[in-house]
Amino acid sequence: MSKMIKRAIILGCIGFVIGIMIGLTICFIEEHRILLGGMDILMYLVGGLQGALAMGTTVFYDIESWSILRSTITHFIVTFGGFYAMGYIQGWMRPGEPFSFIFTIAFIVAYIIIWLTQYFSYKRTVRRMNAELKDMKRE
Amino acid sequence: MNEIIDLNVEIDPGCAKPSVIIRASERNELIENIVDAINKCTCGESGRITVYDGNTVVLLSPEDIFRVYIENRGLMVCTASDTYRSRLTLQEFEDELSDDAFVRVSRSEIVNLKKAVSFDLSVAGTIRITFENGTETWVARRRVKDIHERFAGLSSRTRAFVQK
Repeated sequence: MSKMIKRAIILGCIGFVIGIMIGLTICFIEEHRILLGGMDILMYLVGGLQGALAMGTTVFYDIESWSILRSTITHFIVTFGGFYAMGYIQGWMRPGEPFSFIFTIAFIVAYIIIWLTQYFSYKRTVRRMNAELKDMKRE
Repeated sequence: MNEIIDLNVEIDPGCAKPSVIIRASERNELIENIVDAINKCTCGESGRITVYDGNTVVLLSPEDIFRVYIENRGLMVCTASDTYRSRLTLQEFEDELSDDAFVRVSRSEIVNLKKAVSFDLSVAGTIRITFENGTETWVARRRVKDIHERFAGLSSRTRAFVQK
């Protein structure tokens, strides 16, 4: 098995646990107790799957030959698609409803911020590399 | 008496430097080993790298190498104007190039930082290196740290040399 798939599985497992923990925390805050009915457990599991998807797909950023833009867009498509499908199963995502629209916009804005942050961070890195190169040539 | 090859030595006072011609029906592993052995004993100390231009053996000085990369399962070695083929693996090449100026920039490429002219970032977010001969290649983001370290190593070495 390739290193990247192994890493995606490990990260996915961590994300799954985090997703379930978040589901349990939200339930505890809202209900002041942990609900363990059949439907509740299904919700926790779907939350876990959302966590697994969000974390497991970060390996797209590890693919050497991919640009920041390509990694970000791929991560966005896979994560958003997964979240949308699982939101639909959980019942909080319905096409055409205002929440669904706000969720989509928020997702897009979040990914634009992620891309811009990374882009400007690497822009700084490249400036530093050029300065180091210049210093080396001078020496 | 050698049963694998016929070894003849001809002494010719007119020869400015020794000349070796290997005559064989085909180029096989034995021939490659002989070529390598001759290269090692005549060039080993000078740190030259053996590459091939077709069937011709070329000895390159590491400082003439711009980049080394894998292409179609072969290892290509680029100088200012030529590209040669090497029989080494990228890892073996990396071990051979002890000079700090050589750094791995991706899983399939090593570059000579002394031949780089500039780094830049494309709109899509790919880090590119441009070389003195106008060629370009890209740097994997996770290798950026190694490049910083290599630059730091190069400048500390230069400082140590100047202080001496």
